[in-house]
Amino acid sequence: MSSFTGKILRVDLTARSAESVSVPPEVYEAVLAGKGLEAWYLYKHIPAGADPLGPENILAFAAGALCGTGAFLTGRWTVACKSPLTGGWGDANCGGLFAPAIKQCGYDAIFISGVAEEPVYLFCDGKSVELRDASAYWGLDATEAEKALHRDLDGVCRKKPCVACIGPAGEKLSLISGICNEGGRIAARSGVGAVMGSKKLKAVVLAGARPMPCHDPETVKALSKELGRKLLKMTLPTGLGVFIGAGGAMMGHLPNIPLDGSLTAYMFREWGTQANTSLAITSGDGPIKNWGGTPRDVRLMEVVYNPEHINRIETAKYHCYSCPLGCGGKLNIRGRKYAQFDETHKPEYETIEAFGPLLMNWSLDSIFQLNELLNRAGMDTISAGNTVAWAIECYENGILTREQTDGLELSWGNTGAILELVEKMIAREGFGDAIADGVKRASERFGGKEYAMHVGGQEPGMHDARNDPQLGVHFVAEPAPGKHTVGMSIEYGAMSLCDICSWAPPAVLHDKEDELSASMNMALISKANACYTMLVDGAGGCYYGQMMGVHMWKLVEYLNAAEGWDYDGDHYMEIGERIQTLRQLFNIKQGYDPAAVRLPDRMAGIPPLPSGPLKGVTLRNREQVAAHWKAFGWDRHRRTDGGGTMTKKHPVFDYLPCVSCGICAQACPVSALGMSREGKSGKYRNVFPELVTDGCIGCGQCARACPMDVITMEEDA
Amino acid sequence: MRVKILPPHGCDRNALDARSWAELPEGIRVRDALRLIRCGPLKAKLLLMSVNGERCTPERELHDGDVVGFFFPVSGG
Repeated sequence: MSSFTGKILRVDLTARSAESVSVPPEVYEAVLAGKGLEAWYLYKHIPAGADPLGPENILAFAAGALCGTGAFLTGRWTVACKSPLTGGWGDANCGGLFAPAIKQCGYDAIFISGVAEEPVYLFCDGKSVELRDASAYWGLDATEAEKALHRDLDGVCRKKPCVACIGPAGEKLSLISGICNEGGRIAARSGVGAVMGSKKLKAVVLAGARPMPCHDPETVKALSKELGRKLLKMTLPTGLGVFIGAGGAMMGHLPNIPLDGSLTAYMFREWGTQANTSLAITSGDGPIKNWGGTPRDVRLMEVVYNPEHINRIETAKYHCYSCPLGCGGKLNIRGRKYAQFDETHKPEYETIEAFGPLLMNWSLDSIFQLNELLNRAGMDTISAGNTVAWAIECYENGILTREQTDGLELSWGNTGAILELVEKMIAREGFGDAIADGVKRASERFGGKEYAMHVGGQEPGMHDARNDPQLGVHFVAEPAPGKHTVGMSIEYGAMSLCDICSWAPPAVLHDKEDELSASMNMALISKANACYTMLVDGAGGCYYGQMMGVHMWKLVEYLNAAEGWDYDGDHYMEIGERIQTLRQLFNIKQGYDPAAVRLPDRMAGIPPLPSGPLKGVTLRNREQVAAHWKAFGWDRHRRTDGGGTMTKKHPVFDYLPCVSCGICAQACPVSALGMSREGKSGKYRNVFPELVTDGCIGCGQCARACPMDVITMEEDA
Repeated sequence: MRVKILPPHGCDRNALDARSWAELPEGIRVRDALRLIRCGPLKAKLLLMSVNGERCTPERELHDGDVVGFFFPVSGG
């Protein structure tokens, strides 16, 4: 027994049908579950050129391999599809309780295609699958819709259902909308909410109660116990947060060094991700004034956004499924300026940064209100903040007029105008409607492209690549560009990957010159970071578990115990590499050209900033990205001319001992191998394996599965 | 015994190999490791330190395979 259910649920909204489909064990061996399973399925089943908002696009919800096994920090669910924002691979993930709910229905993932005629929601309780009328919920915000579904299903299901739904932003097909659960927690990126809205699918409601399998639950439990025991002791003295801003100022002038990542857990337990805001403002990590400002422009803003202010109004912490950290919290905001709600989630760092320093907005209270508005609407705060920043800069430079902005005075730090604009974006009214699809579309319509900060169509996360050039590599090379959760130098220094992976370079002290170089050493660091992140996503792991490092959150040991395997870190890193390659292949199949993706000049330090910790920094991003691809073994010149060109190895056949059993073709996770080569076996005519598509990812599953040693894997010439 | 030490800024890494491991005699404590990387007493007083992810004092005894770390914030969101 392993941790996989071995089944996926396939739903066709057009035909109003659903079927349970078995997944061969070889697929799990090749790509795990979670994002890996989604990459495997979507690469095969979304046709090239599919309209992201049409019936051919497939919306996938998946739980990771370790979800439900007792492993800590493995409660993330991933949603994936073809992104309407970038035209390539799109995914987003979120915590809460939805990941185990997928598995408790008896599936590792749910794949939804087609378009419903009228608004529906998908209901599954592990026994039956139904498409139900959702007209009563259509138009409600995500939090209200979830409450209404819970109310209406109360007493109907044995188990309290878990709901993932869209808000008005997704219903109105905003390309920067996401999918929510747990009262406004959102899988926000890549425009996944618009895809759900285009399918007229308001919600996915899961109420299964099946047990979740695991090979060796006792060993998994022992690993979790060891981690939990340490985390319980991790507390910081109250009030320490006031020094964070000063710490950031110091960090901004120091080189990156290897760290003990486990100590990040102290910060997340004490403050949540918003601990980073003060630090980011002063260190150069957080973008200021639409990525063009310096800490001088927001002097002492770190005091306004100090995490201790937010902790004072925190009423309770909350945890995702299987998380002992609990970085989330509920805030009492009743009676605060701008507040239309009584409470909100503790805003994430990204939200505070995107609506604080990025817009030169000094009002913390306005951010509580914006946080709740956007969470309920199901709109991505990163993309929305970047879009508002573009609008302000265009207005300040005369590209937008007051008539165009519906009378809004869009100046830096004008809190009232920012709030009003966001409300208009959510409602898709007037100027808000015109910019509700993100900064790329807005700048194509109104001009001001030089102020439009997006990478390949997606607005970047709130970390500055001039502070951490590795981040710039991932912003560009990541198949879902602009994401900040794939790799950073500082994170690499905390993970000690070199202790599980033979080819991952040791984390050593790097000065700025090292970090800016396009050396193979730095490329191997970015590759190792990306591969490990994909592995974590396949396992359903949390980014903050990953940051703790391999000595604290023992992913390799967890996977071996949960699946009954005995693989080493190198083997698992190969799985991560495979997932990343599949996602990149998806992009190539869809005609998305990775070579055309660029960092905006401003983000690359062209021209460099005149002062502050990032003074004078210009990235060598294109050279670093080229080195990153080389480290992956992807052919730089052929990478855009077909799926198969990114493989590093290919199968070679010795047909003499072949018995035509077909085990190899069945093992292929991407159906690149088929039993179609006609020939003779002795006196009999027969069929033999051969590559039937150019989609081979070089994973070697066919060679491993063949009992007759017909296949060997050879390096590409 | 082998111990992994992740030294803070301004400390000497010469006693460590490329992967930050050091070969040390049995029975040494965190304060000895600090001395090994030339971390002065003032800096040592300001640092929060941990062994295998558990906060500790400089008097904590080290064992084979231990990872010694020092508090330093990491970005995220």
